Amino acid sequence: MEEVVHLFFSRDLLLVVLKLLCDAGRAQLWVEQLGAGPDGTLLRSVMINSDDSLEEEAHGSGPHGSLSLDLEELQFMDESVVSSSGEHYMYPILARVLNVRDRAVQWVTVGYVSHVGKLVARTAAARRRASHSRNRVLQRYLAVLIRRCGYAIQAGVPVEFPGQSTLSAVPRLSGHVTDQLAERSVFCLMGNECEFLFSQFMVLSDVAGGATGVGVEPCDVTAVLETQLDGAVARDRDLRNSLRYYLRNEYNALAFVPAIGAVWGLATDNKNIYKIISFDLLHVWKMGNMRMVAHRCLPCLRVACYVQDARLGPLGETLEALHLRAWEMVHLNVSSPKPPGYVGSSFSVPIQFLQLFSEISLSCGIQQPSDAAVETHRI
Amino acid sequence: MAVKHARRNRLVVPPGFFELPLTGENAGRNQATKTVARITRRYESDAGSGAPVSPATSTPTTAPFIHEELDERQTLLLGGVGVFRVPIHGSARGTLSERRPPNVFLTSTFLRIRAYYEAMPARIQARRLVPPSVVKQQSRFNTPLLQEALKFCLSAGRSALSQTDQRSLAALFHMAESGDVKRQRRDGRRIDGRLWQRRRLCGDAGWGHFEAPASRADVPHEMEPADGASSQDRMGELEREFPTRSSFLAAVLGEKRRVLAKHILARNANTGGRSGPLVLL
Repeated sequence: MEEVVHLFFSRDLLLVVLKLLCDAGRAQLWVEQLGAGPDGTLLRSVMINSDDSLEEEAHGSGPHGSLSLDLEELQFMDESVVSSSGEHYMYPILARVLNVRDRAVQWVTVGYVSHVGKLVARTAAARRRASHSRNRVLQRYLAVLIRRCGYAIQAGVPVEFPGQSTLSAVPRLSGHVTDQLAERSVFCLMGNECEFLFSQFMVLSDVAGGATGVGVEPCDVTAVLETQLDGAVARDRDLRNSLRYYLRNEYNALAFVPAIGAVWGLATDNKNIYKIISFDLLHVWKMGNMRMVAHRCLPCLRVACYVQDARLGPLGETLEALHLRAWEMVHLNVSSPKPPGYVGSSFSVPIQFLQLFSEISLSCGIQQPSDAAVETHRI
Repeated sequence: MAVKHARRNRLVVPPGFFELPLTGENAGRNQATKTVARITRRYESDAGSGAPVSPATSTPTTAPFIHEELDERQTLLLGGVGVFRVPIHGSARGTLSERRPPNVFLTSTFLRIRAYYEAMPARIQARRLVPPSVVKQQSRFNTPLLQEALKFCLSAGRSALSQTDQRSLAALFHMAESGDVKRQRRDGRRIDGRLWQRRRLCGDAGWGHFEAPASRADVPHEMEPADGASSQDRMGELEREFPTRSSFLAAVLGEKRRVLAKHILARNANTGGRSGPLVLL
């Protein structure tokens, strides 16, 4: 492999998370279960009170005892312009602690990933170099970023609260906000010519979205990661692609290991590595994905509101409520190096569409945009 | 243990023993890892009154104060809502001579992935971008002229000058100052604006009767500054501080690092990190 020096500017994610919690004016230490409303609907207030966090806390309290708390983290990666001429791009990595419940949501820049340009030469060496930069170097960046966090997740960080006993803080990665290409690179999956859709289920792209695609088996996270690890070791020794056809055919995966798999809870316990994928609502709106979703929203709502007990009433009133909610999201839909304003969970399962649509509308009121990243770029 | 059983203490390296992975490349790293930052914080709150803190929420009454300093062999402390002690490996604390990798269970995917990336050299090549000791350095841009030059370098064209442009700017300053010195010498003025023994040389003839020397050789010895000023005094202010273009460029870079470290410290102390620009450390 050619000798190329890559510089990665980063902070220690564990220290950043702890410092954010220290600086918090109001912090929520444990997940709060709100239960159901009077009409039987599920009540969720903020992202830290989600079902995934409840399950994580239930699993996390096992090895660390009852005196433990979860530090929920959210990561965001997106390409941003870092020069006034518009020539230079970088990928800032922002982090947010969900336990911090201050009014102003604070995204903290924890690292910068350099931009990898398009492939110019159509040679095998150039392809190998580009693949190395886009995947392997990126994973090493992430490994450096979460290095101390990985050890703290396993052992816990002792926390002394005034007037209380010592607790063990267990940092967890509860969300990763990227666009489609970046998330495939972060999770070391193929970017094109994929036979399977990138979801929590092993659904073929030909049958996805149809009736035959319902009920497929979920993705075996352990098997994928184990195979990726074996493929990465094989790739380090031999660069021939023929040794890694199995990865491509069976899992649409690359011969690299996702570094975030070293975070407790993503490859262990609930195996949430593919569940933490989130998206920036404004970003996908700009790319036209929301328009595509909205086209399928009307027939879906027509079926869902056919029954008499629809939460928001019949179809007309439901559409009116959705329109009103969208109108409340007053913002300028422009590209900027700002952190995500509105983060939604991944909805790769069509049958959960309505539930997740309500989650989107709920999460819209949670996270407000912040100018933290802009200030960083000025420096 | 160290006193009574000095020869049986496995945490202390016996004389003559050396770790195989402790090669010459890694030898200096062990000392560097001993330097850890200690962040302590104290804020005026009702913690001393013994009032119980709600497990769900906790609100400090006043803005916290952070003091950051370098202290070796101390654990990393973070305080605020609570006090955090980040565990430090024995190699960083000094009890172990070399960082020893933990045991890896082959049946654990989580541990194998972590061990895979821990074995890469990127882990040991990480270093701080701006060491906190830079804050203690004095700024070289300590006069209004130098400060304006620095401000122009860092703000011209909205995105600051490139390094090539900074070199050109330094050369331009040098040329301007050298030309200004020659002109002032012809006028009979000293560089700092004071009269240059002119009235003494001209006597009572006044300003109008003064004739400037044609060349440096024509300047009589009496016209040299009488207070023992050397050639350094005849140089411009910027040329005296930064004799070469490279020194000016290095000074600008050093000033940026110093301000960055100072800004981190001031931001931590004043705002507690709640607002303001975020920087890399």
